Amino acid sequence: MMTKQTEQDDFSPLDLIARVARGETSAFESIVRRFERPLRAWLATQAPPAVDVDELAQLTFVVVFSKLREFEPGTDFAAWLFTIARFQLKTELTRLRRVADYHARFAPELLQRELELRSSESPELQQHRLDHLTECLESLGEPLLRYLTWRYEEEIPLEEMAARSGRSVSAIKKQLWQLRRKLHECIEARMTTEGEMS
Amino acid sequence: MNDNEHFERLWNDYLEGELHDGGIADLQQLLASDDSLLRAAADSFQVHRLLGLKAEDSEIRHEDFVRSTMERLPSSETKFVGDVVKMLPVRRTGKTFSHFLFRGVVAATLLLLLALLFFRPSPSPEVARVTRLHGAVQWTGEGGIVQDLHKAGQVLRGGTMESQSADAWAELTYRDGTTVTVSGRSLLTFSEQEQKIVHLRYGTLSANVAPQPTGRPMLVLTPSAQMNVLGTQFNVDAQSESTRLVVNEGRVRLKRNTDGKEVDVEAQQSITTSINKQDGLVPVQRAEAISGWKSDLEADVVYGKWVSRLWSLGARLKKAVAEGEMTKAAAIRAYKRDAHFDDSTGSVWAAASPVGSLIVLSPRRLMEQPVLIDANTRVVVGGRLHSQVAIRIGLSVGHPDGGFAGKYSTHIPVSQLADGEEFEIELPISEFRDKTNQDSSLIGSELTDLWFVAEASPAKFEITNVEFTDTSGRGNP
Repeated sequence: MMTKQTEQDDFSPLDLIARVARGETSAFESIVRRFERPLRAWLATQAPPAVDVDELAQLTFVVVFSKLREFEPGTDFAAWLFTIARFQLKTELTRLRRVADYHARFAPELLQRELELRSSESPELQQHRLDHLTECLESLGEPLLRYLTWRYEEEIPLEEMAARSGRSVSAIKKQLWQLRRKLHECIEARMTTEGEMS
Repeated sequence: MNDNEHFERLWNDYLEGELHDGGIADLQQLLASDDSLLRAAADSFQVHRLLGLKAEDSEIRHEDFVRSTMERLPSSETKFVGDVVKMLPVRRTGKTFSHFLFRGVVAATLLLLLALLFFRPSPSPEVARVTRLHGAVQWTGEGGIVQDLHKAGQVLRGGTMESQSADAWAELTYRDGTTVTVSGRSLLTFSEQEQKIVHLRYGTLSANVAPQPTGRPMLVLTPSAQMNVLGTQFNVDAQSESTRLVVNEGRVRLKRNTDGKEVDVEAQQSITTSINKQDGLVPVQRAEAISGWKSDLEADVVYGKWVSRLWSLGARLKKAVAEGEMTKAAAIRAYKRDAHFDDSTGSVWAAASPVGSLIVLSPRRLMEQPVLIDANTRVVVGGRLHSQVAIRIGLSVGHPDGGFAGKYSTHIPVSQLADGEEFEIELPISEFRDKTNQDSSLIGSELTDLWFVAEASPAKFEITNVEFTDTSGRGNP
């Protein structure tokens, strides 16, 4: 069976670029579809709070579109696209630094720096982490999974979660903290196993 | 309260947006004092963002993102105007007559472009009418107003139709008699100005197209292909990355989006194209129908989550490590030792949908041979329940000569299914009924897909085996 990696290797953007260059803008849609999910996953995990990930992802695609003629055939298109995304993110972070009270209101500056350090990782890793997250969620039992469903899918307030489960709000917060930690460990264990087996 | 507990409390408040300004400063101080806390915060933040991303992920959101991104690209008109503006001469000291003439021509061109952009012909009042429908079908029309469609007869002026559940379907009839039927989970946008344009974002479509005016074929667009139709009968299955076209009558010209390559698909031929593959684009002849079929679950899953036996092994080992029953090193050794297992064995788990936990399988994803249903067909289903729920099993079928033939289903009550235990059910085909027409029969039709739904979203179940057997003894392997 063809693996995801092999499928990605089959992707050849040159024809698409040639069609876009001839004025066929709609050909660019295949590129957007191809990279939308990995790009948003990467941006979501690298961008600090208050950054609009969708906006940044769309801006990246618009820049990629306008610079398509600069892409060098034979080089890695995904790497080129993520380089543009990295630059867009950096520009946004520079802008945020200039907003006087951004760090006081939204983000501890050290967190932003730690995320910037991590942004040098291969962008595809975040898509892998997202895939592993799906599997890790399935390994959680139903009683634990419901907290995450309430919090992330149904987005119900913590007070409501506390009422539904008969626990205190602080216990719910602690539970969510533990679940996120457990999921992080699960994802990293799977990444390690995957790395060892490949 | 020690630093770790203090950090945990501040961090949780921070992620919930409940941390006041002073709290941010405290958090900053804690993170500065201990690298391990900083790493834990970043780990937690990244998982938090991935959980948010996963929760909002859906085909509709995906399509919205693609559509709005495409809308933001500089349009060809803008580019053209930009190119014309670039042609303007650089500032000169003396203005000549030809200079003013040139600027006049440019200004006139821009005005003409604006006129073309803003004074387009208004849309025709009626594009199509809903002639038949069943199940959860939603319509988004002019002004973006969303409404549930409950009965046939509604006049539609172009917009988006979403068939939301596995047992839902809707038939549209155009003024020239062309019919388009969407079935199962499908999202379709259509319009008719110069020509009929149908955009199947995902799902299944069956069309019977009346002869179209010369030079104005009906266009069927999917994420990976474009089809030009002059007048014919065909079926299309579209996912975000692939399209399968089956032509029953006439001829359809298919163009692959990734490279613009075109091919004519004739009657009784089919073709599958994908944005991931650049290899040959060759139609294949319709194969002889078979009446016996065993699902390759991994390849056939349309909706639901395939989980391999090897993955299950990994999950069990991880749990053993987490519960202190074995060391991590021992678990990795055990995993490597058993990794030679055939990874194609496993099961399909139900996934949440607007109408409950759902699995959809289709033999058409892997096989060219249609699966024929006859009076002796029996449906064998194996699985495991992890909730105490009833399940509805359904079949979508098509006519052998093309076109949608209906949806038939049967109810498996809770009393036949025990929570936590494996089950195997064998059903004669006569058990499956069309809710909209109790007298109709699916004998002689061909299987398009089959689905399993538990009408409670958190309900967990998995399907481990699906077989169609022919008790007349003339079935195929």
